[in-house]
This record gives sequence, structure tokens and C-alpha cells, in this order.
Amino acid sequence: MSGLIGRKLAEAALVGLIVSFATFLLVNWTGDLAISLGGMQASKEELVKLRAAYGLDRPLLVQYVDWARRALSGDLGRSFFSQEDVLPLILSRLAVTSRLALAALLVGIATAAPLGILAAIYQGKWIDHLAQTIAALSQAMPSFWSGLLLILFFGVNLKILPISGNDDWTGYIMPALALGWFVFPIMLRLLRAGMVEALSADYVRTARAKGLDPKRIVLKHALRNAVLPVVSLAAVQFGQLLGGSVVVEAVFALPGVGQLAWNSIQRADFPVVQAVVLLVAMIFVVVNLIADIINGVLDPRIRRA
Amino acid sequence: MPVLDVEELHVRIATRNGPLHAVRGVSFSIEHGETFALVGESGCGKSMTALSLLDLMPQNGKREAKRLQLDGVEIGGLPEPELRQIRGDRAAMIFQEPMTALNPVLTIGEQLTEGPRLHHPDLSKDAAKRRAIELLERCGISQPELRLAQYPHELSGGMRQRAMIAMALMGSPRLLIADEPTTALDVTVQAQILDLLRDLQREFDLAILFITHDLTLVKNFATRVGVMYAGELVETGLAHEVISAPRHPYTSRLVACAPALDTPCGAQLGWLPGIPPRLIGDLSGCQFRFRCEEARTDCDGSIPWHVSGSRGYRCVLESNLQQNRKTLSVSQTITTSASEALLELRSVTIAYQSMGAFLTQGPSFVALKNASLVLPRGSTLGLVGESGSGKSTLARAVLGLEKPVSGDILIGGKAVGSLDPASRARAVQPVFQDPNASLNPRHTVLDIVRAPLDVRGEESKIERDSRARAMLERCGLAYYHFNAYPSQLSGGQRQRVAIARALVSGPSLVVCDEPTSALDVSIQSQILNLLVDLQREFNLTYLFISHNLAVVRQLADRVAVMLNGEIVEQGPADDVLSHPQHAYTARLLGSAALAKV
Amino acid sequence: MFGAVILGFYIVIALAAPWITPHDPYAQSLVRRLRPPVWAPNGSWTYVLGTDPFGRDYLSRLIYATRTALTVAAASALAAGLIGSTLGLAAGYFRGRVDQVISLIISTRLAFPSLLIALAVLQVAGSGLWIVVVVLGLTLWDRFAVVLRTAVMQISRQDYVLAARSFGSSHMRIMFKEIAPNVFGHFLVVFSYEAGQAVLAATALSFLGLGIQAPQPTWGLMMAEGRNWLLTNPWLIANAGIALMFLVLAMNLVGDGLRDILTPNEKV
Repeated sequence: MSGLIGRKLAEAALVGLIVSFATFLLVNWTGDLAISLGGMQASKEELVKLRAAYGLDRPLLVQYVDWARRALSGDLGRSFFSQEDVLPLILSRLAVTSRLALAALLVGIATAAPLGILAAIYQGKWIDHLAQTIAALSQAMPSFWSGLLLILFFGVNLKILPISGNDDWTGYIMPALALGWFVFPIMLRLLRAGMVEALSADYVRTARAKGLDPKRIVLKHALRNAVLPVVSLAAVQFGQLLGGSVVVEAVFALPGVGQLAWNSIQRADFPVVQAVVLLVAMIFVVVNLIADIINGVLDPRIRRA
Repeated sequence: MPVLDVEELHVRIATRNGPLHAVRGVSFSIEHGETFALVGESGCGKSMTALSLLDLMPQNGKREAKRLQLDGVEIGGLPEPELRQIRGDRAAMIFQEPMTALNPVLTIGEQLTEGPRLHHPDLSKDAAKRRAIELLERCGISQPELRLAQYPHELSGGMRQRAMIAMALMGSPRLLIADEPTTALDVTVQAQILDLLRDLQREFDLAILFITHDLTLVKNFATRVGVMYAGELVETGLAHEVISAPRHPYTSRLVACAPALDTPCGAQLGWLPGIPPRLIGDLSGCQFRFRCEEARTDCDGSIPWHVSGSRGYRCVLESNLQQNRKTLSVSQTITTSASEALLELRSVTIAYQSMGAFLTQGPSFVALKNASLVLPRGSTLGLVGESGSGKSTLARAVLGLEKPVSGDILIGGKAVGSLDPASRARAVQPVFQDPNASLNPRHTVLDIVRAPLDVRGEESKIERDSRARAMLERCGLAYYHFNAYPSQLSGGQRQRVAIARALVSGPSLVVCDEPTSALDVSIQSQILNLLVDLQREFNLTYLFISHNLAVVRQLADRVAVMLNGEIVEQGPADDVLSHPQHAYTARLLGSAALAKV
Repeated sequence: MFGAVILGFYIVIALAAPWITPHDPYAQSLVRRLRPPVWAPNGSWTYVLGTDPFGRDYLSRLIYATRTALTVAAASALAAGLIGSTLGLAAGYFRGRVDQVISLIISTRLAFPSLLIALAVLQVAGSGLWIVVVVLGLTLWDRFAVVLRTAVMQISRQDYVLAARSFGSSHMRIMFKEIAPNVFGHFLVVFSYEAGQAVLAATALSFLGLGIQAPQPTWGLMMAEGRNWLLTNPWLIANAGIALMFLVLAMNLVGDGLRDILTPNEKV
């Protein structure tokens, strides 16, 4: 187990290193920082001066090491736009998006779990078809579109939920539903497939031969096996929601990290974009590392390996 | 009163093509302390019979019986909740594959105690645990307290099966249904498990229903036997009587097909062509008539059940025509002494390097240690040993697929590693165990067999085609198979294709890695006979890997025994198998004999 | 089956667009802005699905947007498939170090927030259908790589690959003759899912105003243009979304169907 954690840690560190370098390169390739600093009207001489002042004339690798060292100490630079420190700016926005992602994950799992289990037990029956149809439909709807429909229904027609930008929990309900609607089909398919496999496994036949009742067989023998991959998937989904909530945040005017990134992209505010991408990627790596460790604890085959 | 009394048992399974009549009117009974074996080829309905007794068939299966009594109580019509009270308590089951039959994420202790605690709510947790420890110990598991907290993957295959047996005994079963309980195990472990079952049977006064495809196991382990074909019992009687003097043509053929330890080398085995019928649609008359040499015109009518004493069989033939085993046509023994060495291994060592963390090397594992062998041209070396002993590694090395860390592998005096691909293909070719996995499912039979010639690219397309066709025909395939895909062929036919592919390159050495272990005994005999014929015709040399000593005995004139990556004994087959020098060889033979004698 | 029929319908619509559109999708008119669809009060058969805020015929724009969507879907999925399958094939066949390096590339790709990257790149690189295709191709390849890697790994362990090596086949011959035909089904399955994902992503991008530029009709753009009229003219958003939903649904269903044909016993 400790060997496994060590290996996963090393892997995560390596991915983190590559991610940071790639982020750095991306920003350097997609724009000239000096122009962003000086503005489009800046003369050539001014640009040269700016480059020298900001160290942009040094070799790329040197710049990267410099940037990475400062990033590690928590200094991700200042926003070109507001001159604020980037890190606190992002962290406050990240809190909003994390809450949203967690809520969406909960919505997805809470709906997928009962339906997935029932669909597997009654494989090929109407409830299975129903679950799969809902999953196929929800997979085909972009979350911003379902978000707009939610606004139309709950916000405009029923007037029971605020349509945008509320800071209290009611403001999260619709965006979480819209994003959860997107998590649901993937969770459902995974859980259903896992349960179908578990229910046809030899150990379930053994459990039946021991005279166990169906409830115990499903919830104890099958579900314990089927639930393991859900942990990994939840981690991947959480990471993807952090970076993928841009459009939903835009629809609901939710001040999350996606909206910050989107605004910064439009304003060519590179330090912020760079930092958001880096942080979101790093969180993805860390969350997946945690999921690997949780799986190691839950699955005895990994734990004792 | 018998423990189990079954009369007119039927199982039907709903399939897309109509109801599949998997078990057709089977009747038998099992007394206290008795072992009744059900035997037959795969698909004959023996496992379905076992599963149906406690209503454990797949969901689309339905069971019917005139009488189905356990200890004098009718259980045929019991509703599911009442059946659950019986399962695991008064009748228990053990299965073939102990790895998958135990739940991987629950501890052994949990799996042992949950059943009894459900059946007997007054049983305390501690009492259940004590009983589990007691039974684990009784089943030969050391440190039982420790095992309770362990998970299945932490036990070896044999230990898992012991735990499985202990689990079956946690209730107070009168009947133990054992579905191929030793098939997945190595032969020495198999013998231990059978010993254990015999002891437990005496101690707990168990009636055992023993499902197996292995006739020799039946002869030694079972009191009585029922031979099943196409969902029906075709013959019953005392096990040793049925096996030594079969009355039904099917039984007699089956017995003739199975090589025994005393079968002489190079002997032709019995011949049982064809495969069992699909059990859908009209099933009147004797279903064996399509494969039977004795078939008559009245075989499609109603077939009488002849009874004499304890024996019974279902056939239109009244007397036991097939009393004797088909005389073995012992051919001239293959002379090997004079010819030169074709394959030679000189202290070959092979190690696998495992991958460590990113781009680093992990620990290495030695799979083959200092192996030395000499194999004369035209002879057959039987390589025996248990799974993980290094047999397959040796085979892959001889094929040039594995590079030795040290030592030389010479074929015809040339190092395998130094040969270019074309000459290596001419020197040595493989035949693998599972014909499902050894043929590309997306290629036609002709494409598969022609591929080695295509790669070599020396002849025109027409020549290649005709050579491939000729080899396929020689291996017993008809022209209408040539454009078929492997999935359209039977297991035996697929293995014929694999053999044709190996021989089309014209190799002098053929490495056969368990070529018949995935096949039913009737098909096994066809393939073994084909291999013997081809060897004579093309003067082939075989490196024949098998865990089945009887098969090796039939085919090999030399034997090498492997243990933990080392060759511990080798020599002429007669010497090694009759006077083993190494303790392990003796144990292996003893286990095989225990299962057999 | 159902999926294939819908998909076929979309393809026919896209191919026949110039002949079946009732109006010029680009013709603007201030007088006929925001006409309601035929089923609403005041709707008319002249503009079956009404007109958009610029007075253009909604149905005609919807049909032309189908063309764009299908082009983006097919081209992006093909680009992603090319990248992903090559990586997956190499990782699964060669294993060892090649696999470790490629797996690392896959992990890195998964860690990146692809939508943010796509937005940033499009913001800088400008707009256009083919830029969108390149960006989506570069962000959607991971599933191809993951699925093919596993499949190839399993197949290259089969005895027929060993047999092919034994009779002297080269790596190339084994990869293309023995392995490729057996994983092509997996490729098709992932392809149909990823084509759906590409449509969704392209729509999200143009909803945010990036990628394919106005006045070229895309569903995302049509929804973005209708957003300010959500309260009064919800069909501006609803109808484009429905068109999008059924296309993606069809692609997913085709993927499911292919998967069920390929693995009849296990529905994953």
C-alpha cells in the first residue's frame, strides 16, 4: 500500500511538472506578453524595454524555472487588468466553483445510484430501458441549454428560484441541477455496468447457494464490488467540472473560476488564465491521487498488494 | 430413505431460438455417505442438473420434476424464501473456480459466517466464528484465526477451495453438490482436495453429488455414476463397473477416448466423431444416434431403459455390445535412439523484468533456471509440471519469443536467437492451448493457414493457396470450412486449423503448449490421434507440454518434469513414469494415480 | 437502429440543404424580426419555425447549421481518432516504456481543463471552422487512446499474435493485419461518441461567441443570439437545442448499437 502511494505520488508529481510547463508554454505561444503589458499602441522601443523589465528576453527555460519557483511559493503574479494578486483572486472564485462541482456531483450520484442498481437488477425490463433512455437524453443535452430551460421553468414560469447570481445556496440549485444532469448519465452507465457484471459473477451464485436473500446479495455482495470504480469516476468528474463549468457559470452569472477565466481570456489577462489552468489541472491531479488512495483502502486486492 | 431423490427432472432455458431443453427427464437418488457422479461432455446438462436442484439456474431457466426430495421432504414446489432456508444449510454447493466463486472484497470470515447467522438468528457472532475456525482447521488450513481476516486473493488456489469447502460445511448439510471442484486445480492439489472430501464425507455422513468431465476421477472417487448425454441420463451404475464395462455406446466411446496412465506410447485412442446436438426443437429418439456406429433405423423411436441389477442404460441395443474397450492398435514404437539431437537447451536461464515506477526497472523474476535438454529428431518430449513451473516460458524460449539471460537454445545445431524469422519459422512452430485465442477471429480459415507463407513470400499466391488447402485437408478440414471464420467452427476444428497453420511452414519441431486441455475428451482423442499420425508422416519432433500425465504417457517417449522453474528430472518416458527418481515426480505420479487408481 | 435512422436523416438534411431551405439563411429584415413559429399564435407557414432577432428564417438557419455541426463532428472526431488511436495502438502493443510515456501524456491531457484551453486558443488564434476542428481534435483524443490501449493490450496477449510472431511477422504486419481488424470496432464506437462530444463542445464554444463566427449559422450561435429573448421568445433557444439534442442522441445510440453488436454479452 505504501509502495502504491509512493508510485502514485511520483506519477502525480510528474504530471504536475508537465502540466505546469505546458501551461507556461501555452501562454507564451498564444500571445506576446509584452504587447499585453504595453498595449497594442506600444512602440518597438517600449516593447524592448518592457521585455527587459519583466525578464521576457531571457531563454524560455530560465523564465519557466523562475516562474515555477515563484509559483511554488504561492506567487502566481498579478492580474494585468486589476493589478490584484492572482492567487487570492482565484481562490475566492474557486470556492464558488468547488461548491458548485460538489453539488453537481451529489445530484449526479444521488440520481444515478438508485436507478443504476435497479436497472442492473431488472436488466432488459422497462425500468432498465427508462434509465438508459434518460441517460441517453441527458448525455445529448449541453448543460448550458438544460440550464436555460431550468431558468425558463423554475425562474420564469414558476418563479421559485432566483435566475442568476445569488450568493446564497438557492443560487446554486439550478446550476447544480444543470451540471448534475451532465454527470448523471456517466455515473449511471458505470454503476449499471458494474452491477450487471457483479450480479452475474460466480460469487453471487455462491451467495445464492448459501441461501442469502436478494437484498443482501445486491447490497452487500454485488454493490461493494460495483462501487469501487465510482470513486475514481467521481474524482475525474470533479476535476472536469472545475474546468468545464464555464458555460453554466456564464448562463447563471455565477462568479466562479470559470467566469473569471473566461473574462480574463477576453481581456488577454494572461497571468490569471495561466494560474487558473495550472490550479485546475493541479487540483485534478491531487483529487485523482486521493481517489487512488481511497480505492486502495476500499479494495483489499490493492490494499494488501 | 435416500438423501436426495430426483425423478423426471426437466430444465428448460428460454433462448432467442426457442426453449433449450437442457435437462430431460433425469432421475437418480443418492444415499447417505454415497458419492454419485454425473459425467459427460460439456453441454450435456450435468452442471444444469446440479444448479437446478436448489433452483439456482440462470433467470431464464425453469425447472420441473415429478419428485424432488431432500431427506424425504419435497422441495420441488417450495417458494423461494423457504428454499433459501435449505440452501447452504441442509444442502450446500462448491464450485469449480474458487477464485471467482468467493467474493473478492469480503473477508473469508465474513463469507463463512454470514450464511449460518442468517439461517440461525440465535447463533451468536462468536459461536459462528468459533465454528468457522474449527472447520477451516478441519479442512487443512493453517492459522485459521488469521485466515478469517484475510481476503480470497491472499490465499492460494488450493486454500481457497478448502475455504470454500469449509464454507459449505458451515450449515449442517446432508447433501454436498460439488460442481467440477478440482478441475481448475493442479494435479497434486486436486488429489489433496479429493482426499479431504472423502474424509469429510465419512465424518459428516455426507451425500455428495459430484459433477465432472473426468472419467478417471469418477472411477476412483464416486460410488455410482450417471452418464449424461444431450440432457439425458444414458447409463447409470456402480462407477467402476460402468467405466470398466460400459454398456451404452456413448459411454464406451467416451472411455475409449480417454488415455489412461497405462496406455502405451504412440497408441491410437478411440474415435468419437462429431459434437453433441443443440437441445432446441424436436428431440425425439436417441440423440446419440448421429454419432453412433451402432445406430439402427429404430434409434429415432422411443428408446427403452434396460435395467439389470444396479445398472441401467438407455439404448435400443439389448446386449452390451461395447463391453470391451476398442482394441488399441499398438503401432511400431518410434525409434529415437539413433537419430541426432534436433533441439538442445544448454543451461538456459530466463528472467522477466518487471516495470518499476516511471521508466525504471522493478525486481526481476527468474522463470527458468539452468534448463538443459536434448531432444532427438522424430521424438516427443513430454514436459510436465504445475502451473507456474516454467513450462510455458520454456516453450516461448524455444519459439524464439523469449530471450535467455544466459545459456543457448539450439535447433538443428543453430541458436534460435541467431536465425532470421523465415528460417526460424521453418525450424519451429507452435500449437497453443486455447483454439479460441490462437486464431484471429477476423480472418478466414484459409487466410490464417496461408499467413505464414504470405509472410515468407517465396511462392506465388496460387501456390500458397494450394499448399494451405492441402495442409488443411490433411488435418481433417473440408473445403467448405476454408472460407469460414473461426467462430463458425467447433473447438476441435479450430485446433485442427491451428495445427495446419503450424505445419504449413514445414517446421521440424512443433511446440504444443497444452494443445488439448481446453477440449472435451472425445475431441482430445481426435487431436491426439492426428498429432501422432502427422508426426509419422512428416517426421516431426514434438515438445509437448501438458499437465495431464496420461496424455503425456500416450504421446511422449521422453519426459521432463519441471518444478519452480527448474527441470528436476528427465529421461525415457517409461523410466521416469515407472521409476521416478525425484520426490516431486513421485508425488505428481502419486496424485495422478490417486485420482485414477 | 433508431439512432442510425435519425443520423441518416440529419445527413440527408445537411447534404440537401441548398435545395430544401425555404429562405436564404442570411437574408436579414427588420420588419419580420422575431416572428413566432407556426404553432404559436400569429405563426405562419411562411416561416415555419419563425424568424430570429435579425429577421432571418429560423428553419433555414437551423438546416444550414446542421451542415456545420456534422462537418465539425466528423472532422474533429477523425482528427482526435487519428491522434488517440496511434498513441493507444503504440502503448498497447509495445507496452513497457512506450506505454509509460504515452500513459503520462494521457494523464497530462486529462488533467488539463480542455474547455478553458480551447477558449484561450480560439481567442488568440481567431475563428473559423477548421481552427475549431483542430482545437477539438487536440482535446478530444484521450478516450480513443484509453480505449484502444486497453483493447490492443488484451489482443496482443492472444495466442494468435504469438503465432504470428512465431512465423516471422513484422511488428507492422502484426499491428495492421492481426490487431487493427480486431480493434476497428472499438474505434467506431468511440468515434460515434466523440463525434457527439465534438458537436456539444463546438456548440458551447459558439454559444460563448468563439469559434465559428456569425453570420454563419451554428446552433450555439443561434442560442446565444436568442438568449436575450429567453423570456419572450423561448423557442429561439429551445428549437436549436432540440435539433442539437437529437443529433447527439443519434450519435450516442449508434455508438451503443455498435458496442452491443461487438460485445453481445457485456453491456458496458
